[in-house]
Amino acid sequence: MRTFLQKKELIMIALTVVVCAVWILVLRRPKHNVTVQIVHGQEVVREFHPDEDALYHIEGDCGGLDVEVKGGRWHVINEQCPNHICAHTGWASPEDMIVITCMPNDIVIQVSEYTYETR
Amino acid sequence: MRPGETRKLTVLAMLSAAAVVCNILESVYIGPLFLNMRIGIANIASLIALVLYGKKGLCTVNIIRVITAPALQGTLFGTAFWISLAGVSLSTLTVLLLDPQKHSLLFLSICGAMTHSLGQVLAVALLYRQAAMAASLPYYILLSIVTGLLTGTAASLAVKHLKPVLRRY
Ligand SMILES: [Zn+2]
Repeated sequence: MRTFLQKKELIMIALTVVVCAVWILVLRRPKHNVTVQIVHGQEVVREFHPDEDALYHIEGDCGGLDVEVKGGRWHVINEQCPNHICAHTGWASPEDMIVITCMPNDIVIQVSEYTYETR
Repeated sequence: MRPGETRKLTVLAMLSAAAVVCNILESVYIGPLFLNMRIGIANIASLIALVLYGKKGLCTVNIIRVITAPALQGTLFGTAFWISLAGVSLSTLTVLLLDPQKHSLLFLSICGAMTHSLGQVLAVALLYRQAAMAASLPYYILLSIVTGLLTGTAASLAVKHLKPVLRRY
């Protein structure tokens, strides 16, 4: 078996990189009227608008967590989970559309609604 | 049992054990790089099995590790287990469909890493009915190319040193 990438394989990987880069640029367009929802299990337990600073406590399967909203971004703090992946994910914003998940608590925090800025 | 078979069984058992240990070490000590993304050091053992014993070797190590690691950690059949199973199944399937004779190890490793992430994202999207999860997919795929290169390089270096040792026995 060969170890290093052949020309064809290199081209395929380069194409994948380009597609992902374009995809990310499209996703990062400025957005309006953003709603973020916090889901526990299958149920939406809270919705918020990221332009209003706030602190929400969310009950989960593992002691729950707090969602801090500040300056249009949000992140998880005071998490009561063993792996702390949710807090390590860091800040999420309407631009990056990152979904924060806390598996032990069965909580997902994600952008649910938005409109794109039109010029 | 032929002598070659015994050796194969022993090496595959050791590789599976190494994969399980890597899996647990990574989930306890290394943690995710970005979002829930990990390097996937257990994949190094799977790739070594692929080079030494082909598709069957890869399947053996992957099936053993995907069940044994969560069983030892007490997370078997939990949400995280299904997500990891989806990732490993999709990446194993992809490598099985690609011809290891035609492609390079690094390419197989990168494809495996990308479909591993794809499988995990799909599982999260299905389990939580969250189509929005797709927004993280391009980030995961880009990072998978990097982690695929890392694990692929590590595996090829390991094989280079393992082959002369195996020939002696
Ligand atoms: Zn958490």
